[in-house]
Amino acid sequence: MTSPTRLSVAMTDQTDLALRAHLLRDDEQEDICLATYKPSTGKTRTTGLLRTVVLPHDGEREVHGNASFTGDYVLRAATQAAANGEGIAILHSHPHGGGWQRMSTFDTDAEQSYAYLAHAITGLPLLGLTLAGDDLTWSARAWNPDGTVLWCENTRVLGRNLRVAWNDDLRPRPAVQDTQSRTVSAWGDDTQADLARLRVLVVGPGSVGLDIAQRLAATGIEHVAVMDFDDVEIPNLDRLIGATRDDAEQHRSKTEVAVRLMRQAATAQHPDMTEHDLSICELAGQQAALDYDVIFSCVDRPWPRAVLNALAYTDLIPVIDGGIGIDAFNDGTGMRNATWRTHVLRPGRPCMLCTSQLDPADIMIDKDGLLDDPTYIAGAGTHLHTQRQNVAALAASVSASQLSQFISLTVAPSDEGETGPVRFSLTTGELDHPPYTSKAQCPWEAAVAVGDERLNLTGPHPAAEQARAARAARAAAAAPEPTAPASPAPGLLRRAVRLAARLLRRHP
Amino acid sequence: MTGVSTAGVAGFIFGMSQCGVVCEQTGTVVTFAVEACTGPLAGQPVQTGVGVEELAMWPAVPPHWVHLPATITLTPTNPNYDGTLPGWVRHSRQIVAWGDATEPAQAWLGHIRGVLTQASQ
Repeated sequence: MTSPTRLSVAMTDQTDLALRAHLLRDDEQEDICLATYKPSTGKTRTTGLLRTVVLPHDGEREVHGNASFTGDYVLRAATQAAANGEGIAILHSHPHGGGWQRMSTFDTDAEQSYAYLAHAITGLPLLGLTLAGDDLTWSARAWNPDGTVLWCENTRVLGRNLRVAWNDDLRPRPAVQDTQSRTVSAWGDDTQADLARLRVLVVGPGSVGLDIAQRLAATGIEHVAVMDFDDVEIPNLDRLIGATRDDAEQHRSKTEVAVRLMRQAATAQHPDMTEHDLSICELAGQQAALDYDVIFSCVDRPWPRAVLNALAYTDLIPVIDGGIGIDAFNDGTGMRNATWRTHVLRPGRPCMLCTSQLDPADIMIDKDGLLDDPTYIAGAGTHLHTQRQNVAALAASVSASQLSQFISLTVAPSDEGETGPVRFSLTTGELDHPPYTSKAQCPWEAAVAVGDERLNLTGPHPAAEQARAARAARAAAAAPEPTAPASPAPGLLRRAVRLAARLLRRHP
Repeated sequence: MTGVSTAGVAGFIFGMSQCGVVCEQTGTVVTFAVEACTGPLAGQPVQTGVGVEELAMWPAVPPHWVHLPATITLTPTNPNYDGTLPGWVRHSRQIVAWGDATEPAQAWLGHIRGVLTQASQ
C-alpha cells in the first residue's frame, strides 16, 4: 500500500457476508475481527483486496458495548498473513452508524497501536475498516508503520451488484447539473452521486466501445477513460459514430477522437475524460486499468480479452464484456443470422473460458503476432477463424446490452444486480440466459483477489509499439522546422578560431 | 495460480511428474519423452519439447508450438526453427478444449500423443 495518491479496499460479496455475520450482532454491541489482504497496485491507486476472514478464538477479544482484542490475536493473524505474502486488516462495527464512518479516539488508538507490529511482521501496512450497521457501508484507511493514517477514497463490495461507498472528504458528491434532470429522476440524487464518482474504463473505443464511452459521459460519470493504440482508418467510418473522414486522413488515434466526443457528450460539472494510448496487453496498460472501478471490454482479440478476463477475478474489478457474431454466407452474398451476447465477469460468475467465449489456445498465437501474419494464416489450415463482419446498426444492440449490464450492476434496480450472461438471436428475436457456470478447475476462480501476485499475461505488444511510433513520426514530420540560431558573422567566427588556436598552443 | 508448483515452467514440470513423465530443461526448451498410442510410431518413446517462454502463462494459457527432433516427420503446418534445440523443429499445433481437464499436464500429454499419431520417422 505504498501507492502514490489514492487508496481503496475491495472485497467479494462472500467476504462481506462472512464479515457481517460476525460483526453485526443480535445484541447490537460493537464487535471486531481480523482479515488478510493482498495489494493490487495500479498507476495511481492501490487497492487492498480482502481475502481471508480470521475470526477470534476464545479469549482473543471481548465485547463490552465496544470491543477490544488481544495482541496475541493480531500476532496470530499477522503470522498467518505473512506466510501467504498478505497483510492484515482490523475490522469493527458501528451497529447504529450509517455512511462513511469517522474514527473515535478509542478506534484510533486501537488501530494505531498495532500499525508498527502489523507492518513489521507482514511487510504491508495495517488496514482498518469500519462497518456501519444501518446501511452496511464500509469505510477504510491504511496505517503507515509510524502511526500516520491514509484514508481510502472508497470501498467496493463486488457481487451481483457493485456496492461502492465514497469518502466524501476525498471524493465530494458532484453537484447535479440541470442537464441531468431526466437522468437523476430515474434513480435519485444519492444513486447519481455514487454513479458519477465511479472511474470507468472502456478498453477498445471501436464500434461498440465508442458508443458506450459517450453514453457514460452523458450519464454524468465524471471519470471515463478509453484505452486503445489504433488510429481511425477509412474502413472504420461505417461504425465509429462521430469519427470523421478528416480524423482518418489525419491519422488521429481512436482514443483522441473518443475523448473529443466524450467531452461533447459529458454532462458532469467537471468531466475528466482520459485517453490511454496503450494496449491492455502491455504491463503499463494493465497497470493503468487497475485504477478503475468498472471496465468495459470492447475488444475482440484473444490476448486483450484474456488480460481483462483475469483482472475481473484477480483484482475484483468487474469487467463488462460483449460481442457480436455475424453469420454471413461464405460467398459473401447474404447473411444467415447475427447473435450478440454480454456478461459481467466477476467472482461467482463464469469467466470467458468457462463460457467458451475465449479459447485459451488462441491467446498464445495472438501474443506471438501470428493472427496478423499472412504467411502463418495461409499455412495454418482450418483452426484460425477470423471474422471481419461488423455492422453499425447491430453494434448499437451490443453497446445497449453492455450498458444495461452496467446499470444493473451499479444501480441494481429493485435490488436486483447484473443478470448473468445474456444472448440474443436476431433471426428468432429471442433473448436467453445461457446456463453457464464456472468450471471446477477454472484457474481464475482459483485466483480471486490475488492482486499483484496474478499470473502475468502481459508482455511487449509490437503492434501497439509500432502504432505509437508511427504516430510520433508523423507528428515530428508535421511539426514546423525549428528556427536556426543566427550564424555568427564570418569575421567574428575567424577571430574565435584564432583565439582558440592560441589558447591550445599555450595549454596543449 | 499462486503457488510455484502449479504455475509457469515449474508448474508444467511438476504437473508432468504427477503424470509420471520426467522433464528436463535444456536452455529455452523443456523436453520429455512420450509414447505414441497409435500410428507409425506407436510404442516408441519420442522426445518432444515445449518452449520455456510459452510456459510463462501455464496453466491458464497452453503452449502452441510442439518441438520435435527434425527426424520426426509431420504434415507441415508452419514449421520453423525459432527457439528450438539444434536438430529440432517446432510445429504449429493448436490444442483443443483447453481448460476442461482437471490436471492440465494430462491434457498436454494427450495433445502430444494425438500429434504423434500422425508422425513418422
